[in-house]
Amino acid sequence: MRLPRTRERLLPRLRQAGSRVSKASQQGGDPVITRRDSAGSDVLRVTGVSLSFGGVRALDNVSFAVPSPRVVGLIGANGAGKSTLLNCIAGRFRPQAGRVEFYGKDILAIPKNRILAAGITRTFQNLGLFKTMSVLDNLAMGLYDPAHGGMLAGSAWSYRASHRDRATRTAAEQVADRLGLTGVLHRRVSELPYGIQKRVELGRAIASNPRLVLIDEPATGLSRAEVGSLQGLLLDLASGLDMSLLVVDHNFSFVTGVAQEIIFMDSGAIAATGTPAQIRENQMIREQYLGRLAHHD
Amino acid sequence: MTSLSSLSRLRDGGITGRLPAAGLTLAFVALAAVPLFLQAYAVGEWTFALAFAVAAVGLNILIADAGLVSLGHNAFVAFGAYATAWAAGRGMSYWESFLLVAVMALALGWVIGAPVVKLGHLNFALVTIGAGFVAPTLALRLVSVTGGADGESLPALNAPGWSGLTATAWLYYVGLAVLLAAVLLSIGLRRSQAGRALRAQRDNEAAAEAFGVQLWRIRCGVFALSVMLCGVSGWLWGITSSFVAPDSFDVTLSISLLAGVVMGGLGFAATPIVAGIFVEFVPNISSNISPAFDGLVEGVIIVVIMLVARQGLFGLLTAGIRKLPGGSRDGTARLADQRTDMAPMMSGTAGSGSDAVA
Repeated sequence: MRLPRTRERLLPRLRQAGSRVSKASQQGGDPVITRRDSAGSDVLRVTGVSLSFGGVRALDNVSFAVPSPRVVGLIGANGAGKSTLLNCIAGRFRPQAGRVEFYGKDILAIPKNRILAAGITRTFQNLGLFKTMSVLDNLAMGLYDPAHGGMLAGSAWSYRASHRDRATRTAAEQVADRLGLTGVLHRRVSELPYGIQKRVELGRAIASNPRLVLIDEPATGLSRAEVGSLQGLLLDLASGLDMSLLVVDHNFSFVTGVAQEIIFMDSGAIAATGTPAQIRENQMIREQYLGRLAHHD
Repeated sequence: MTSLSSLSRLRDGGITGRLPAAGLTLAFVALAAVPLFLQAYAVGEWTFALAFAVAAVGLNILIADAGLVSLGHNAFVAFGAYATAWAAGRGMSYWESFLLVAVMALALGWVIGAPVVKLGHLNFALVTIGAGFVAPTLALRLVSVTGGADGESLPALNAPGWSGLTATAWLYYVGLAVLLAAVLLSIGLRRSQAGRALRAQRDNEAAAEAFGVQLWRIRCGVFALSVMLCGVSGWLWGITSSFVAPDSFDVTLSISLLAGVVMGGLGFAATPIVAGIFVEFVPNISSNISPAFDGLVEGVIIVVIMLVARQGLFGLLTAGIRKLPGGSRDGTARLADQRTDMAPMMSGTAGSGSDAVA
């Protein structure tokens, strides 16, 4: 796997580019971070999002903003609402209250299948690969364009459809090369080791060069070596492709290793935000979360 | 359209790679030789097998690629046959009625598919079997359109003078050309972006949707395409038999087609040929042994093949080739990779979201 930039080389740059986390805001819905990007719109702005499943309050007035491209970590215990929040941003769940804006655009007004076109892609908690398909086809699905997915054109072997398919495959091969997947390009993904499958899923997510990638539990089930490799890969992606990453994971050291800013969730609400250093020093988090996870890390 | 030789250049997609392409080419060459060696009656039987094979192409696409199981394709074959008879009764040539039937069946597929594909896998299968039960009864009752129990007669298709063929042989080659076009259509679909999206939604609905696949639209589209192929199958069946009656299209036709497609191996381009042969010839063999044992041979064949070759005959063949010395992953191995797991789609769990609420 090609990893030209190590975390050590990148961290100073990331710290320089990072912005100050002003405060956690659970009550008023004010954004956590106030600085905006050059275009005037935040990359992501979540305002007052609430969602209940039956009688269970999964998200409770959640608000935060990501003003410029960066890696944001989302941590919290099981049931804290991390993946639910991620699913709201991905358009999979529709919150009962609140707004989710992506570069000023209301994501909740976009159909689920148009989220990719808006510039947001994702990975899934328990892998969301197309298991009977090859690595190449999985990566190519990351470049799927519904405007040119005509069934009749494909069936009729039209020149344009063939030409487009060749271009898609070439682009997918380039992604595979970047992620060190060239050797398994034609293998069925379900035959591959779990760590490789995770990498394929990540490759599919970045194939279209999106502006925001939602990464759900990327380190789960990986060995220590694989986690280290994944950390470097994420840093490489975030810096090389000018995209934002929202990383959800239980693994505290993993998340603090890749994220410039951390959002800590508890019982469906944001309990604290800050830089990795600030989060590590937070007494409440040390007692409630890190103590419990000490056995898992 | 692209010539068969270009199949060898394809990559991925179940029916691609050099060996499957060569096998498929050989199969069509063998089919082309059938009229040279058989009597007219037997050639007529093979033409019916080709008609069923065209319907099987549609079913193969629907099940293997889209993960949707239809048990009502008999209704759409009947629609094609009756539409051909209706068009012939109004003075249309068979070539005109071919286009008419294809377009009408495509439209019918959209109209029926639009609400039905939203129902989920199991309900979809149940609704289609409902259509399969209703179609013969409708054909029986709508006497003014279908001729009721007496059926409708169609004029014979004559061979053009330049062909030098008998009418039976000409009809057979028309059927073979239609089947070849249908198979090429299925290959084209499978290797296209739309085919990839179809398999993606079959494997994981949530992920497919997240990557831009509009589930309703693509499922409706593939269902309409499948119904169109059934309509064309009915057209071929109608001009071959020159007589259309309700009892030719009961729901056992759908079950036989499904059995034929599964036995051949889901997702293989040559599977419809096996399915067509199974639907046309095996019941006759069974009846010839003894009318008292109607269905016995079919049942035994299905049970034995499913016990010996769970991925169908071509799945077994592929696995055998992989075990040969020098068997590589290229071509034949990828062919096996693309096979469809029936279990998730039959249980309705295919495509269940893989993300959980934290």
